[in-house]
Amino acid sequence: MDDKDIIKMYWDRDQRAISETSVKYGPYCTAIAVNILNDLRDAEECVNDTYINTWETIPPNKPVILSAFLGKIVRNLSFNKYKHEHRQKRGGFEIEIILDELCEIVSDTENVEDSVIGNELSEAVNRFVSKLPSEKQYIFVRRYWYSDSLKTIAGKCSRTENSVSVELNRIRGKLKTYLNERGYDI
Amino acid sequence: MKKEKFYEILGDLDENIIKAAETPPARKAKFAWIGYGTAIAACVALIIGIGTLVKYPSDNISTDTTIQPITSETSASVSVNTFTAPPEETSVTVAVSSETTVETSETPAVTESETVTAIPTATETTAKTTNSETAKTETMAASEPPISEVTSYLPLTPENYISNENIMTLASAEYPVMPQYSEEDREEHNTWLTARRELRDQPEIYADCFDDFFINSAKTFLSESKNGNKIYSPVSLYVALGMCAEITEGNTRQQILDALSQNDMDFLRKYVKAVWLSNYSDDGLAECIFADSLWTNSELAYEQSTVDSLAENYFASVFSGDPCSYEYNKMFQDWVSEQTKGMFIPASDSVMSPEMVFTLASTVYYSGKWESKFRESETRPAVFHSPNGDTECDFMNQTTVDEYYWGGKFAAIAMDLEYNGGMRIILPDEGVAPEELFSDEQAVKFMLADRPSLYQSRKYTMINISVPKFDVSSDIDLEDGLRQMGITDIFDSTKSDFTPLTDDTDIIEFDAKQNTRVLIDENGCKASALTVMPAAGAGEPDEKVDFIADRPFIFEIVSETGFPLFVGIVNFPAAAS
Repeated sequence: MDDKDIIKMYWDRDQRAISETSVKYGPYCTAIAVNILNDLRDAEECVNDTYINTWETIPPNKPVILSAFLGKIVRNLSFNKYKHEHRQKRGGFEIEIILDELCEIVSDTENVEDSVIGNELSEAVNRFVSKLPSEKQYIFVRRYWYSDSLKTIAGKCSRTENSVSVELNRIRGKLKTYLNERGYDI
Repeated sequence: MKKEKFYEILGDLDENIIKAAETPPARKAKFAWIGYGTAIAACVALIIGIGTLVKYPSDNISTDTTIQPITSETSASVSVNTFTAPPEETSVTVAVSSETTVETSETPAVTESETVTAIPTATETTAKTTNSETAKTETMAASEPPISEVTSYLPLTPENYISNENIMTLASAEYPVMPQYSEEDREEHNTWLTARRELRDQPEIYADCFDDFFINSAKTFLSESKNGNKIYSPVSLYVALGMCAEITEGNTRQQILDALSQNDMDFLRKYVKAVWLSNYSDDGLAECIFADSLWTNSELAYEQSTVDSLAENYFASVFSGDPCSYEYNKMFQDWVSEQTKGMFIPASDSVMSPEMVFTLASTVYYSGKWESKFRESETRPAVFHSPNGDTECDFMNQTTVDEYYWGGKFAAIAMDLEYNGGMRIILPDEGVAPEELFSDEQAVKFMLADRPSLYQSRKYTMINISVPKFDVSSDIDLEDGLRQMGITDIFDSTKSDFTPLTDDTDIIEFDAKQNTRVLIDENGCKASALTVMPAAGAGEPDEKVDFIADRPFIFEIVSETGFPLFVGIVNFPAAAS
């Protein structure tokens, strides 16, 4: 089924919208959740919450790209779950490694202005990522949005894990410089 | 900011970007150029200063070396230190260029001392210089010290020159050894990155002494460019003049220091060294290679402390040899060719003058690859409005979302080159000559900004870029320009003071030139004609803007630390001038 048909079902309050979403995007959402939570049961819980959340937000929202719309919701829910339930059980989570990598860009200390600059910082990050050459953009987004492991990314890009790791290292360095140059000393 | 918060912010990526990452991009073929580039920018600058040795008819010069005989009626083309920028046919004459018919006796072999004593004054030379367009005849006032015979220079082959096995290296420059770039091994990569950062970390480069020099020299050397392309390397000129200050004394040195906005030699040394190190790059990924050398005459004694200072502070290797020898000339040619990676190949008849006191060579070799590559399939022929009329050349095209810069008289873009700074292209508004922009406050600010993002008038927008591929070269005689910049004594034999280098002789001629070649390219293929639109003029652009460099423009190649390595005006992009 086309995305526009699924979205129309949401707008028509047709409950089949959820099952159609599940058929088409269930595995996609689950993969994102598993990457963050490293637990299938928790992941499925988040995916179900995603459907409910989507049902509640469409309408009034009218997604342009349904997969990304769902992905954002499941990513948020999964990460919230990770923060609240899993953070204490350190070890074995790819997300922990990912977060540590991000410490190369941010100070990892709380600043009062963090909540204020959120939107504009997000805009700056978007500009940076949109400028990256396609393969670098793919690697960056797979790592920090989809939370893929290095091995998974390496396999998809036909590269070695080391090569992906080095590439990410370079991109992080550039992103930090890019943000610093624009006054974001985060 | 907490890492978790930043992870959440990353969650707000544009949905199109997220969607695009659902499938892996097609793997691109390996680049054709130095293994990884489809778009290139490469350029080279060369400065050579030549002094002329005054050989007095005295007994204290004696040598066993023998100059190969020159037969009667020999007609030779005198072309000292001629450099050719391949593959163009143009040759760039660095020093004296004239046609000379030499009349000599059929003496089978003359010793050098005989040659010196045989001719009492320059005006009585047996050589007859004929006029040519580029001829610059050496004339000496009667009151000047006697000069040796003007010798004809034959093509540089072992048969034509004496043998000299006593070439010495008086000082060897130690270049930074940079770990090679590694993409595969993380540890090696980190070593490379650390070394690179350490090299860039030179606090002296932030001293406020380059800006005035840049503007003054750009105004001087890039003026009156309408008949050709004008390019020069400010950073190379700065380093070369620093070396000149090192080998001079008194007012001669002071004039140079003034032009360089420097107060004392100690800081100049630190500054040049810092500039050199912070911009140097030779790690297999990015190349920005500076090289300096001083070629001395083995007949003379040179001050060792000056030689050492040149090696230490200016990374100059200092050599000593007989300028009449094949080996020494060949060594010089090979050095230039090697340092410029073949961008400049000294012509086969390039030789040093026998009266040479010193030759100072300074080169910069730079190459980089575009961060955002131009697609070959988008390269199309289009019209470039050069000062002499319209001409067709290949334009590289790209649509990108990036910063667009503007001022009252220009529009500009900045294109990054991977790990090696970038190229800024500044397009004057219709009716504004490129030269005018060197006096325009906003344009100067843009050119001098360490990073384009420090320039105020900019907007992040979609830009349709259309830039001609170009391969341009320029040969600038620095004398007039340096005089305009207040450096005069060095050219006046009655005032110049080179005693820190040698007091064995006087310098009666000082010559300085800079040859530069810049090309930007990709492996272009030609397709149907592109309909060009006039570039947007000054003022804030709309959401989408065309940047079409189809009329004379300025380019500036800046290093990673923001130093202007090369600046030029392109009037004729199609071929080297």
